[in-house]
Amino acid sequence: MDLKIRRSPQTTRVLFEFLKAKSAWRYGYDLSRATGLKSGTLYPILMRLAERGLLETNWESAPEEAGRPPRHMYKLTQDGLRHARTETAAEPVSAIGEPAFDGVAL
Amino acid sequence: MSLVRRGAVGVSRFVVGHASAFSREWAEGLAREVEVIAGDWEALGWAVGSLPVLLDRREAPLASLAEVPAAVRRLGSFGRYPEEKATWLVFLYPAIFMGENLLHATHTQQRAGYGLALCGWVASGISSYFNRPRRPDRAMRPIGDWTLFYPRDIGSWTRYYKSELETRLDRLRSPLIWVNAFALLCVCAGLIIGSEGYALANASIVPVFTISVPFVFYGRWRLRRRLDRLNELLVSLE
Repeated sequence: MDLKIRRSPQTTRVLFEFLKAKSAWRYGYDLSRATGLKSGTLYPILMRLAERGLLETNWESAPEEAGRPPRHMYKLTQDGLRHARTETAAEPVSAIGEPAFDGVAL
Repeated sequence: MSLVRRGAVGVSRFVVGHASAFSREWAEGLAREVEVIAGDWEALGWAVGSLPVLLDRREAPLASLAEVPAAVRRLGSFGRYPEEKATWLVFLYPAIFMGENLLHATHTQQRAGYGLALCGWVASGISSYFNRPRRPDRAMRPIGDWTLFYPRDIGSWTRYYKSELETRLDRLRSPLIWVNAFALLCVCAGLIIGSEGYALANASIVPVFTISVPFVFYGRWRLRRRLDRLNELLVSLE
């Protein structure tokens, strides 16, 4: 399978977010809030990652609130994790959007 | 539920209802998130942001040969080939009027223009005739009445589907498509010359034709993809 994916700061930000909790399933809205990306930007990235076998998708088996329909969940595959580590290592911190010295008073 | 929230739910339902088979799961994933977003306006923004999913018109690849009958139905021309008989006539019909124009032409420019347009229509009709869709071999067709015995014989459905895809692909690959396109450009040029610029509106076919060129390539790509997937499934069964 072709694992190449177009590099962009937004994709890197999404990959970085997944790396924060490697084995946890993530929801679309939570990812959107964490990365600051709108649904129209985030989902094409998730779709491309899934298409290349880098992202696993699943439906929530037991919704937290009764009566609410199950949500779509996402997690990086092993290939995805490898790809994410390479991509985020190559990208400067400023592109990822994380402050380098959080909380340091000048 | 507020009006804004109702709008958000409506938009996301619309997206799910109109998404392609390939992206429906994603559209549903986006729609489910609308229900957990607390702010109404934020939910609306999220739902509107899901609209680009509609642009992805890819179809889900065949998962197994059992899906072939449904794929044949989606192709949409099973058992009926009206275009086999008539499309080329659509191009030859205006040639009659162009011939009449040519007969009544008063000077050389008109004769040259209408002559060119006449040649264009005739060439277009002839190339359409030779490149017309052909009904696949009867022996290839699934056994029995397809509406009554829908999933009866997967083998014959598969043979039919493969033959249909190959026929369509051959048609799009044929150089006659480009002969037809060139002939239509001659028609435009001929009309403009013959009417001394008055029929400039007929030149509108040029941008229409330009836009249609990528569709020919897209059509080829789509058929190639379907055929490759079918071959993959057939190889995996051997």
